[in-house]
Amino acid sequence: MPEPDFAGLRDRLEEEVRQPSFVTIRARRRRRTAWTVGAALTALVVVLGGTVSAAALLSPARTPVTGPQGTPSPAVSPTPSAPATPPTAASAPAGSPPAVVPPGSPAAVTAMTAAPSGVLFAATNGCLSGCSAAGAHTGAAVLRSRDLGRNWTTVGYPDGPAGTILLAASDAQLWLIGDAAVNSSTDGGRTWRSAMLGGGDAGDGDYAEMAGGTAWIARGSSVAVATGGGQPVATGAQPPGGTIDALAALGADNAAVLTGDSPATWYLTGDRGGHWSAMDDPCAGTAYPHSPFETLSAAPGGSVWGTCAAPPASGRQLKQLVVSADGGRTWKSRGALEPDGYGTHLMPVSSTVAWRTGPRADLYRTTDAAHWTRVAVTGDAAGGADPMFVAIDGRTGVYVEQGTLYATEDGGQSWRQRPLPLG
Amino acid sequence: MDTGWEELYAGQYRRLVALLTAIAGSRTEAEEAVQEAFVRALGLSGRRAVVDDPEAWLYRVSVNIVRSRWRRVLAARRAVARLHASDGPPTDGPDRVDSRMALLGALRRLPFEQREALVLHYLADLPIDAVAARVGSPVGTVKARLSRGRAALARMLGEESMKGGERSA
Repeated sequence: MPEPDFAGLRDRLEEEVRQPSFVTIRARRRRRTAWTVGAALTALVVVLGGTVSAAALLSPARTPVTGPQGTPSPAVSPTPSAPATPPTAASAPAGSPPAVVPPGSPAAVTAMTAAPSGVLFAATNGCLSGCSAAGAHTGAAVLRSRDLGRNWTTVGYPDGPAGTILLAASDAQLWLIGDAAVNSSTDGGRTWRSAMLGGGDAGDGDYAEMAGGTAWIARGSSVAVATGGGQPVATGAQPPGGTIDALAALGADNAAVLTGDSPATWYLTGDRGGHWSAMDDPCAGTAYPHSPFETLSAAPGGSVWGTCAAPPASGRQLKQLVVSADGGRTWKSRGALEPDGYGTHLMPVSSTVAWRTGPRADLYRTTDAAHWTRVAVTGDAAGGADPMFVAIDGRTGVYVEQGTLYATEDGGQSWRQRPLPLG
Repeated sequence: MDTGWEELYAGQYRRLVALLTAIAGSRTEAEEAVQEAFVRALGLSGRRAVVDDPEAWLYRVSVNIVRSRWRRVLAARRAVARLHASDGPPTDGPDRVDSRMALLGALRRLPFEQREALVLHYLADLPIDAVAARVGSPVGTVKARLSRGRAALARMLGEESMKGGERSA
């Protein structure tokens, strides 16, 4: 067998590159700066306009979605009074000034979470403007809001670029998981300690969830745990099966990870990762058994929710909801979910109430673990990330999309635009 | 104002895109990531001096951008990519499948760490200690990744050549 022709491959790859002018790169940089300034001005207008500004009062579409056996479900609550819908990439007018929300520009917020108290924390990258000015901060910042996003306070600056997952065990104990390191704080984000998250394959992605005060973090094929705002420690044993496709934090000592492609298998630990054992497939009784696209999420009170799904394609993914009332020992199918979008990210807040979203999916809410109502139009274009949604309780939540933050306190019947923290 | 980023762009863009293409398996993704890295570099506002090794910085930021995009699409699309990894060379490559494209397709099927080590060592011509510094791993770990990656490539390319032989017979 011939030697691999690495040099030939390099030459060919370089030959195929068409290099755009550096003017293009400069123009993108200018648009980025203009966008942050424009977003700041928008935020300022919202603050000055007061919280009852008609422009800031937004109401999403509330289209009934499929329930068990695909039957239409009734709307959970009365028809909202305001008909407006949060703007989306698809609905934004073509003539929108790029200084406000240019298509494709990333939001300054890279991660957001809520502590059990309801206090919001957000991680941001960069600075508002004038980054070259003396004293200006460039890089990651963590901000806090005690009033559902009305006001934000910068609390501290973790090392390096902002991570993409933020966890809060309390108002004081925080973790920010980034590409290269995990930053942890025990004083509400004022000071941070950085540690490398070893043992995994960072290219395969991170998953992290809180349960019972324990932060469960999975990278590549490895799992680590952290408590008390401390640094993550690899679990005593690692789950078999290679790269982790999903993580479910079920409790302080309990978690499950999904590994393997065909078949995919959930492995469960009840001793903080000291041992892992295969669990029965939650999707065994569905059309998508042992799928690598399964997800699980624990609700307070011991119920566990799961999605069983077919491979996604072109913005659609066939999927089904399963729920266990006994901690995952037995499962009941709760019917098909809407096929549009990859909405398999479940956030149950009780045995019957949950929110759900995902890449290219809208935001849904259920109050009976069966019928889902679309409460915000968040599905975006191909290649887009999932909306950054944080559920605080069954009626309260916030999401960031296209550089804008929205908050609801009535289960998604109405949404108010909030000033976006920019760092 | 750019303090040298433009010169770096002129001299290193093609090379960086080639490396990222080998790592990401897609030239489109690679181009987007490298361009975004330069956009972020300009955001350093003339502080290139604070970056010890600008090329290494650009490489690391580009790789992180690719990784972040992989993560942001969650398990679904990642698993799809893995399930379809054996479909052959990337669809955005040239039509003709030659040994170099077979090598690119085989690289895609390797675990990320092995792929990155092979690309940096054999495509970027970095010595092993420089690869170790670039990826933040011990030299011994990089050697092991190179060894395992080479073995896996040999298996995959051997199968490819056998398949080719059968087709042409």
